[in-house]
Amino acid sequence: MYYIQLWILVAVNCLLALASYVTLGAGLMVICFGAFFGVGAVVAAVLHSTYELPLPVAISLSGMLCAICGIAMAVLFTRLRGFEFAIATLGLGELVRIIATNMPDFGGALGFSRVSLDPQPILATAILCFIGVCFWVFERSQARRALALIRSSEIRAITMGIDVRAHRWVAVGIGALLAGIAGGIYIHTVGLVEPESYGFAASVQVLLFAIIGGTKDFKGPLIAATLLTAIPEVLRFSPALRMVLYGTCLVATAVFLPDGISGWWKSRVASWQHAR
Amino acid sequence: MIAQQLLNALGIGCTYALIALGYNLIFGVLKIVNLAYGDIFMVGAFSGYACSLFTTNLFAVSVAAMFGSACASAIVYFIGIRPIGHVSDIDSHRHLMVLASTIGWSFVLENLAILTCGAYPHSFPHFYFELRSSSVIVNTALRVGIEMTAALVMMCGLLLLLKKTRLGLRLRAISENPELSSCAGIDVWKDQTFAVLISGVLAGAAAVLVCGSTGMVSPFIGTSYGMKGLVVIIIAGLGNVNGVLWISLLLGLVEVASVNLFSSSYRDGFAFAALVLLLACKARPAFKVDER
Repeated sequence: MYYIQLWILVAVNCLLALASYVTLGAGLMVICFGAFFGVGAVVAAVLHSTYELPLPVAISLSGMLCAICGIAMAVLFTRLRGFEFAIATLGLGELVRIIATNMPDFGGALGFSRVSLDPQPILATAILCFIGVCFWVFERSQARRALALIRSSEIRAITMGIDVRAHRWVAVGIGALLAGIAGGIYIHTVGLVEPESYGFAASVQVLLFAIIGGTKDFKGPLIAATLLTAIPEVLRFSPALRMVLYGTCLVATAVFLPDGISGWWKSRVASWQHAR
Repeated sequence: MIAQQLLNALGIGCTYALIALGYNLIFGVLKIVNLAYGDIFMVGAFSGYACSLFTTNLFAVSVAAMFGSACASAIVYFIGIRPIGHVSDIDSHRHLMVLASTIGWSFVLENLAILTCGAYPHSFPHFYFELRSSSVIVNTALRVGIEMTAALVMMCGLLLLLKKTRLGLRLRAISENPELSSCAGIDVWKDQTFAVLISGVLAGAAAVLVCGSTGMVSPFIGTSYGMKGLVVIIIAGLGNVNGVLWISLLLGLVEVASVNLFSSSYRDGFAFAALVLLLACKARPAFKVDER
């Protein structure tokens, strides 16, 4: 049972890592995926437990609601760039956390737990595989190259005739969709979503998956999400020391692999080919 | 009553300004958001607390706090930021990596403090105690006066340093363009180290003032004050030292007003709502679009 739960957690974190990968690929740092995750979780739980919709339908509906919220947020912050955009989304995420902490309907400070437990490893794997295939196609698509161009130079993208605004909105929308789906899977596995998982720390964690993994290739964030889920589990022997070691791992990765896991792998492969 | 609340708002605003000043210096010179800055501030507070166990001398406590946070700041810089290299391009992956590494440092510092000192608040010496008079409003006024003076002195000191000294000139040049300034013979690494040390000293001074007025120190103050400092410098704009004071005072006013008009549990909510509104209404991007 523990390993099934751990596997679903890995799948959830992989979805979140991809969410942050899409937005970082468009040069947008979104620090409120925790909020989308939480809202997606609560909506999916209500749809499944109260309105008795089948789980896949409930999860996809809550994901779509999050996508709409995400696009609305991107429209609101159209004019912001770089750190300003990042901090604006951070503010919005904290706002959602504070409201959720103070609303009894969201479970208040104790978290939302009115949900029937229904861990579905097969559903989680299926969703992850489907999204993975979508990303495999997306990596080779025109949209991916457009996003990369927007990230490296917005003005060049405009002169190439790319609709920068629409691409940015859709990128944030897809990110929010993935975060909402992840939330829906999570709450039916763990049975609880706490206000902390809406806030800054959780959102930064999501961002770290993609940063550590690298923003050039979608496989890097998947590996990073798996590792960063596994490391705290391995270090379970001491709660406070565990976070110290976790922080040390982050610093070490940043210092020794400054281009992320996928960037490091690509330079390795390049140097092997060069040697031959 | 209203006078008392206005004074409170002023006091809170000043504490935010104290934290935001050093934050802004690092942001301006290194072009990175040091997310460990709140925890550097917390390390300063704990060094001051450790010193106050041996002596009640305010000067000694302040020196200990400044020394502690300057050391923490230097450690974070040398082990977490410098090895990654120059990050002038704000969207490059290296830039994100610096962010990841400062987040890592903030986990390390906060949890080391929890491990060594425990996850509960400790009582920090109340330096304003000798000033106590019988009237509440006079006390508040005195406390706010001290905070206000300290914030103004620190801000003017920083402005003088940046505008009137050779080091300040070099720092402004680096902030404008690190590559060109190194061509002009400026030792960029050395001057960045100075900026990091100065911001650490500012964090220590802020820690003594803030913890001396609230009378407590805990491992978690880093996160909350660090976040407020971040909010202030983002609204005030990159490297804008004058703006920091006004934005901090505004933030203090918004928080006190929200506590009085609504409830204290939404206090931070109003600060973040103000942030979101101000940024959403902003007519132009303060960071210029990359024109290369």
